[in-house]
Amino acid sequence: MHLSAEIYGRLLDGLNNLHFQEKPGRQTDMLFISDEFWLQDTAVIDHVNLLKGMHGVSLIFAHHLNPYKFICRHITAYADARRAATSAHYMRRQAAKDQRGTLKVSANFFNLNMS
Amino acid sequence: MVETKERIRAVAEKLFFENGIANVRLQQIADDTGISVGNLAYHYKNKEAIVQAVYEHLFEEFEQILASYLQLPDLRDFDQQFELLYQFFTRNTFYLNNVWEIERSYPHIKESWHRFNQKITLQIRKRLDYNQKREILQPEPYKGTYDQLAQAIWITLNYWIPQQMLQGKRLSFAGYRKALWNHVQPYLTDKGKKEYEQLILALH
Repeated sequence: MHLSAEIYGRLLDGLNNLHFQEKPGRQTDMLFISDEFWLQDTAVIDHVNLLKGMHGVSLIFAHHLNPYKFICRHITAYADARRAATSAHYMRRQAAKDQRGTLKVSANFFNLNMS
Repeated sequence: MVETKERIRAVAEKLFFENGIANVRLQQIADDTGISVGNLAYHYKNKEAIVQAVYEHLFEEFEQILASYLQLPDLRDFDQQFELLYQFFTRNTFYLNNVWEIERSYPHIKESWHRFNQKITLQIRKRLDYNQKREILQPEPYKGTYDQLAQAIWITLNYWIPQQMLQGKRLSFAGYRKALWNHVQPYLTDKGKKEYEQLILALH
């Protein structure tokens, strides 16, 4: 497939405009690097909870030394509990730096209320 | 296996440059590669296939140059493309010697090459627009001036090298670059002149 000269011209115009629409970032835009630095050493815990008839899959990223430092992210929801459990398992494995799970942190330690 | 194929292509490029596509025989390519004609026929079934392979390789390289459009947001972008094209044309001098042969006998290649020509001229033209928008270049003095300018830049990009060769002059990127920037210089604004001096002149 070949682009016609007209379409190619428009494409280049779009690239030209991109440089004008883009603004330089601020120093504070980069704060997430220091703010979220602790996330690289977290244990990832998968959590399935029943919410409005669906099995929601959440991942909890918890600091392995400080139990009060964690974030919880809702990922997806399934109608079927087994699928939710499988999905949660693989989500955790993908997200965790420590894939074999030697950092032992249990969600129950934190006494979370997920609803 | 791939290596032999590559080697044949490289030898063919060299011979095409020295003698012109029409004057090169398969026997010659095989001899220079150090293989038999039978082996050569195993890799490429005829001369057309070799010519096709040589030009496909050329086009792949050219596509990479096309993909470098506006990687830098200032005049260095122009300069970068000049350099890439200089390397391209000096590496692929066989192309320059065979322009007419391709025009006459290889319509597919001719067509692709025309398309690339059109794209690169468009890129040059749009770069002029871009720099005009940045107030580096003056507004177009007359309608169509920048179309002509883009065309002139492309002609220089293409034919500066064969022109030097024909006159027995030395090839150098500095000379090539000077000839190209010479087209753009008269249209620079004060801001453009400053950028040109700081980013282009000062760096070489």
